[in-house]
Amino acid sequence: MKLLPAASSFLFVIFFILLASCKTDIVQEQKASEKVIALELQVYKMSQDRKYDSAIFFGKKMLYHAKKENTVSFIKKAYYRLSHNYLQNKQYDSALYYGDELYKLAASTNDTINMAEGKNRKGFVLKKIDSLELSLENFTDAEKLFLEIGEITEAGKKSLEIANVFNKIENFGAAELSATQGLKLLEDSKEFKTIVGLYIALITSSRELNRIESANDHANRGINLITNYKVSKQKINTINIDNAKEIKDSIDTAIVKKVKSNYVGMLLNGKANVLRDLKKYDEAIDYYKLAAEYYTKDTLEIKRTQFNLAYTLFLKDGYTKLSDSLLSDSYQFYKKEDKSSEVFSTLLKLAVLYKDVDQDRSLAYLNEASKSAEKRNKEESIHEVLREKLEVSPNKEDINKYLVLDNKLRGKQEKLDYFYINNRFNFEDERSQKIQAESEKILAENKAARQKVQSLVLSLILVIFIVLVFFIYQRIKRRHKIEKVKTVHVTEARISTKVHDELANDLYELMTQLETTNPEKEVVLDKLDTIYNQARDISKQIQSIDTEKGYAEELSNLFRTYQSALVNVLLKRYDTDIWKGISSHVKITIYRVLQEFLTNMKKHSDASLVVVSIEKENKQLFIQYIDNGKGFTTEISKNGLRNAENRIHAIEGKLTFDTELHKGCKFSINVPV
Amino acid sequence: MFTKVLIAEDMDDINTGVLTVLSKLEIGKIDHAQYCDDADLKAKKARKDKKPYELLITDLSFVKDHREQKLSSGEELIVKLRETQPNLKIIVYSVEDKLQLVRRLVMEHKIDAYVCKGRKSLQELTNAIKKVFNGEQYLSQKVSAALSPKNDMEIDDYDIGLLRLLSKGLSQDEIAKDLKKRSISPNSLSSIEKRLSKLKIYFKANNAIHLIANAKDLGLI
Repeated sequence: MKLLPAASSFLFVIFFILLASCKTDIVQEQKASEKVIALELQVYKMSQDRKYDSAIFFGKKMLYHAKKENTVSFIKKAYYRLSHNYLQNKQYDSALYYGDELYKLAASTNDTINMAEGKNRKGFVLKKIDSLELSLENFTDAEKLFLEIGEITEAGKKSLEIANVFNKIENFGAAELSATQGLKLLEDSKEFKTIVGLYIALITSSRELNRIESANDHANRGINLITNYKVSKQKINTINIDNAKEIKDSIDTAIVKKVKSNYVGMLLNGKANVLRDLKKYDEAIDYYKLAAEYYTKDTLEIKRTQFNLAYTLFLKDGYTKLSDSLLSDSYQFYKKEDKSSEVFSTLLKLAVLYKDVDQDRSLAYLNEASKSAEKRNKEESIHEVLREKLEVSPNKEDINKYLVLDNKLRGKQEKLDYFYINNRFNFEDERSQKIQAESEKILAENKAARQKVQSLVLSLILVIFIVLVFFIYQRIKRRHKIEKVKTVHVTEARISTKVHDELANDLYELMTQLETTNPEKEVVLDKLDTIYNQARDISKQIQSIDTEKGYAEELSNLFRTYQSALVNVLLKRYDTDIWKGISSHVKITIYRVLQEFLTNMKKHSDASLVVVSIEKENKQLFIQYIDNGKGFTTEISKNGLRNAENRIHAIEGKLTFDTELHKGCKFSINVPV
Repeated sequence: MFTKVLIAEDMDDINTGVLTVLSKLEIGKIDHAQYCDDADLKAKKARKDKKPYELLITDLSFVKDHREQKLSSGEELIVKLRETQPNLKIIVYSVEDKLQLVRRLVMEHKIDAYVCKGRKSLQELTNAIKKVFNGEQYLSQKVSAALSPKNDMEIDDYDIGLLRLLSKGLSQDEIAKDLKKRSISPNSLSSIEKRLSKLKIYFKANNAIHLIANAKDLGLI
């Protein structure tokens, strides 16, 4: 008891020491990084102000100090910032380098989130330099890492990036898969911007896969998201989602702010595209116009919508001045902005526009497009141009070129598909493995618990069983003891009866004789001798006997004892080996019973001949006793024989006797052994 | 008569009886010991004095008491003294009447007499001493069976077969022939005659007819 306060105070002291040490650790880290923190702030500011050069300068300084102080978390931050700013500054190789450094450092410190961030950075850079395959790889890795640590939001964002890249390389199936995966991850979150992005990606991929219905569905879902929840919930059925004017009123400005209006524009543009595919040109045109309202300063997107609008107008009314001028306007804009891919697609659309109106002009556009594509060294684009060209003016050279390209591209596509699907499946595999492992673990735990319970129950049963056995054993023992005691009692009673009947009576008789008469000394002595011998007989009957090797000898001695001038006891010769393996209590019983027969014979029968035979056959012991004495009547002998009978029954034997007055008697004992 | 006798007996009353008997026999010196160890020591001393005992009268069982004894029974005492004094005469005087025991004492330890305690046993003891002095053996009537050949009263199937043939009215000659025919031995006339006379003793029969009658009464044939 005295120890308790001492021990608790000791623990208290330890606790404080621990606390203190923790505190100093934290303080040290913060203190050491003060300069670095300031630098980081500066980097952030510069980056915000789009002064990327300065940002890079300060970033390098920050990295230098962080390395000097060896504060790993800040080194990582520096890498991150540097990669970001280099990317913004279009110095892609440096951006890539720092992204890689970030990943490596994170990997060496088991920092999954920064590993993912590193991969993410690399993905962005690679996407920018059109190294789309590598970019995909990095994004996929990043997504996987984010998922590993449960960063669902980030993983969802990566899904969007992946989907966008896939769309860009025109692997729309994979894009759809990835975007769907992203949506699954973000379904219930408030990441509206990413969700809308995913819907846009889905619209694109579905449209390209010619699944207009699902594209429409995605578009509608996206629009539902940005329209006022309350209104949409109530009027979801009354509002015609295809009607841009009705939608315009219910768009939730708060959400638009979150999503960013450019994205809303793109979404509406997507919806318009779907409507155009559905040949609902009027609705499409309305949507394009609505979309245009949402673009802020991103003129590229405006031009795209404008271009789409022009194309739709063309589709609706055929070649018109308006569509021509709008397309040309877009074309000029793209050309000016040096957006080669957009220039290319505008040229392609212009070619289509003029296909029926002016074949030469159309061909001229196509040639231009072909040049642009070759300049960008994009086989897919060349492939597309060739296809259009063949439609306008087929020639052999183009056909050959087209076929070669077609084959090549298909191979490439398959490779990408394979890569992506493989990756995805790997991921799924890993996830399912993880789930399986978890479920196995749970199962194992359950099993262990069950086993524990089982073993508990088993041991309980065992204990109960043991206790039961013990009690039963005790009972049996007690019963045995009782039986033993009983037999002892029976023996005692028998002896006492004998002592009383034979000794006491005779002694009393002698006493009275001496009192009343004066008998001769010799007579008294004779009587006493008889009594003495009786006493000896009684004692003999309870004497111990050898039941081992000497048993046969003991038995023949018994017969010899009763051998006298008056009586011949004959033993039929037998193999004394039969006593081997017979239990001692059987032997004792047989000895005692024969002894009793002989005693009775000597006392009452006046026999002159006794024959005893002993045999063993088929695990049965046959013992026969025959004398030529007086014999007895059954009634008289009942009591005298009961004892022998009981003894034989106790060893599960049978005693039969055959006697007639004056014709001797015959006992047969039959004992199974 | 014996000149020097040792009595080993723990019961004083019996001792007195024995002493009375011995005194009547005009024996020179009578010593007595109540413990076997004492008896052994006395015998040793007597030998040392060149006046060894000529006769030992001993009981077999000695009641154990507070004195630790090396020799705890008469039998052990007999064994010891037989070793050191082979020509010592020994009479066992005991209540024990087990034939096995008597035979063992006579055969192995060469005791000269065995007297059972009982009615008129003192008279028997006198007779025994006289007989032993004359170099004879004496056994009480009760235990005389221990050595008598009559004791091995065993009959076997051969005997019963013999009786059966006899009961059929066959003469001894005919029996011998019959046995020969069935190649059962012994089948010589003399051995058959010998066996039948033995059986007559066993069955307390005066003649062949009596023998068959007794065997029939017992249901043996």
